Amino acid sequence: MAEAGRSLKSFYLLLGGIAVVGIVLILHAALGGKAPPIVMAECGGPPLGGVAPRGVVAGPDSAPVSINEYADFECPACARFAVLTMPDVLQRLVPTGKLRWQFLDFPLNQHANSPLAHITAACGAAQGKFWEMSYTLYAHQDDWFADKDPEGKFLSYARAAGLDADSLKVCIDQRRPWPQIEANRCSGEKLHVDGTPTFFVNGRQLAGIPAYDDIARIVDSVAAARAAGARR
Amino acid sequence: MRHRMASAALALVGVMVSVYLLLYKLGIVGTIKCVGSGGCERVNTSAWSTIGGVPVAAFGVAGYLVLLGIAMYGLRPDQAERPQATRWLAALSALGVLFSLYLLALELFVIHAVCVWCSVSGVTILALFLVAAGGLRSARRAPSP
Repeated sequence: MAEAGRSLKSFYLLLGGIAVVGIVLILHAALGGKAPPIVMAECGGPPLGGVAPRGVVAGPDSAPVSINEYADFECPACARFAVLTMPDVLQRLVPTGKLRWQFLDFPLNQHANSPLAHITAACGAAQGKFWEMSYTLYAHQDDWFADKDPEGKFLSYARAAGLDADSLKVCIDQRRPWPQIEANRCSGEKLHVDGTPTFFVNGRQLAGIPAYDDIARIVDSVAAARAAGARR
Repeated sequence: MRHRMASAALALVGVMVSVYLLLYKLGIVGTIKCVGSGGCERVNTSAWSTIGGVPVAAFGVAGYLVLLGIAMYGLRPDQAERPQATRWLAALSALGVLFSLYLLALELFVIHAVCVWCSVSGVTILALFLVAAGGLRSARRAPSP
């Protein structure tokens, strides 16, 4: 009887040990080794950290039509545009040489995971794969927008999109592109961007969210007007 | 009694592993510690990581908790000579082994990535089944009066 009691006691000690070790390891995984928090600065005054706004560009600088898009990776309307319209823009319009498209970051305050998504996409740009990273982040938006820490998912999407996830993680954890993202956001605030996505065609704000045909029409008409002006 | 103690300890290990995978799936643990290059992330963000919208890891947590509960119940003095708890442990862990084999087949042949933590869970449930089956055999050899 006494032996059974001793054996039960060691059993409960073993269970307690497993529980404590397990909980400590899980807490360490959940809380340990966190990258520094991302803080959104106030815009206004001199450019943040001396960084001038510069987005990710597709198409030649000499293109007659220049479209700047201010977008937020956590905004559903931006995701719809990025998934339904942007692939056609990149594949059918940009190669004509008539269009220069610039993506500018505009992470909204109320979207908790947006800054990390913008950093991830910008780190993807450092590997020459911004558009792939951007597409996959938007395409999976429903899967990560409510997460407390979506970094693991972002790395998984990056790997599937052909990026080097290990160097991407280093870039994300060091928050390398954040000053550029802040500069881009502040450039949008300066232009009174108050929602996403917002588009500027040759410097003039476009009303609403254009479909592919709208963009193609704009590109064709502006390019034709430019060409006619050049002939005169 | 010994096999029920071992079953309870293994079930608790299973609970811990499943909780870790579930926390990752829910986005509470940002990155998952894994051997190799990203197999755990690929498996746990794949389309097969949920069943009917419920994360597979949640089924793992629930299953191991049930096994832990049965093993603890079987440790009560009034259950010591009764084989029911061991039978339930063997039957449910056999289902768990089959489910783990199905998940392993998905990893190897469909997702083409192996999640080490899922394999740890698979080995745990297999060990639990072997322990429970061993308990059943020894109970048969020495039937209760």
